[in-house]
Amino acid sequence: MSTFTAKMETRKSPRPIRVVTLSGRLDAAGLPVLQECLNSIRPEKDLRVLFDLNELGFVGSAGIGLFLSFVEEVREAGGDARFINIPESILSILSLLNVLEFLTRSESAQEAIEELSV
Amino acid sequence: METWNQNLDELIALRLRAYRKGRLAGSGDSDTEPSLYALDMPARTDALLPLSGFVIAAARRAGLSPRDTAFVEVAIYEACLNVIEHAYRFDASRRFRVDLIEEGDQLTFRVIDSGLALDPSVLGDPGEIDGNTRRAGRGLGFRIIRRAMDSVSYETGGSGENCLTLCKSLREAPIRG
Repeated sequence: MSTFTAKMETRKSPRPIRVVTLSGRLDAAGLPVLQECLNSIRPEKDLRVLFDLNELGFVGSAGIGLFLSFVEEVREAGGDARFINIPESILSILSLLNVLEFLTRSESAQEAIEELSV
Repeated sequence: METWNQNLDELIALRLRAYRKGRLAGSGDSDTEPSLYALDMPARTDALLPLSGFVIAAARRAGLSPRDTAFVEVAIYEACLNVIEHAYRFDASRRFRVDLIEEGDQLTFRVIDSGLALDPSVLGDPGEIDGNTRRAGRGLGFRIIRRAMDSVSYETGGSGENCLTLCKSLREAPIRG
């Protein structure tokens, strides 16, 4: 698992939710890929984003920093974000930094979509 | 101590196979002698992937849990990326060294460069992440290193070498199979 990919689709139920599925290693090489993906939706107001990390094998500090800054920005603009399927190894790293509460997790995609639809 | 200075991918793959077969003993064939390895690394971010493979194999072989293996992997990655980005400012012609020492109940990594020295204050406790840090989205690398490892120290020598030493205790790790 090495090449990082970020795939985005939109669910319309009942409001548009951007579902961003990440796979591979979010390291120095992968970071620009995620930045480009998030930059494409950044200007949207009231943004709702669901990150699925099921296939993510590694995330470095810059990747975590990008998650934090993006979610902060989205919430300040009235939107929200949820994370699902965070692998154990990445959960451990996020726990080290005490950011798991901020990067709100949901148990499933369905639950996340319901929460983001409020 | 062995030095790897060419064809890093191939050499690391070779060493990983040796690790998996339990034959990688370095200078420490017995339980009492330390195992010493030195990797001569190019200052390129693409060299960090094979390095991570080596670190994971070394951590698993030493008996670290999956959680501690993930901690060591990310800490060494961040330490080396810091050398590439800040000590050498992406000058890919530069090189640095990663030493692995397994001795007794401790796994020690040394990251040695000859570039710009670290500001030692980054090794201090920066406290919890606040809104400003989240908005900046930066400055997390050494937080991870400090919290992922059991001890971290930094020395700058008169010869212009800088050495970041990162230690992980094996005491609570599962017994080796």
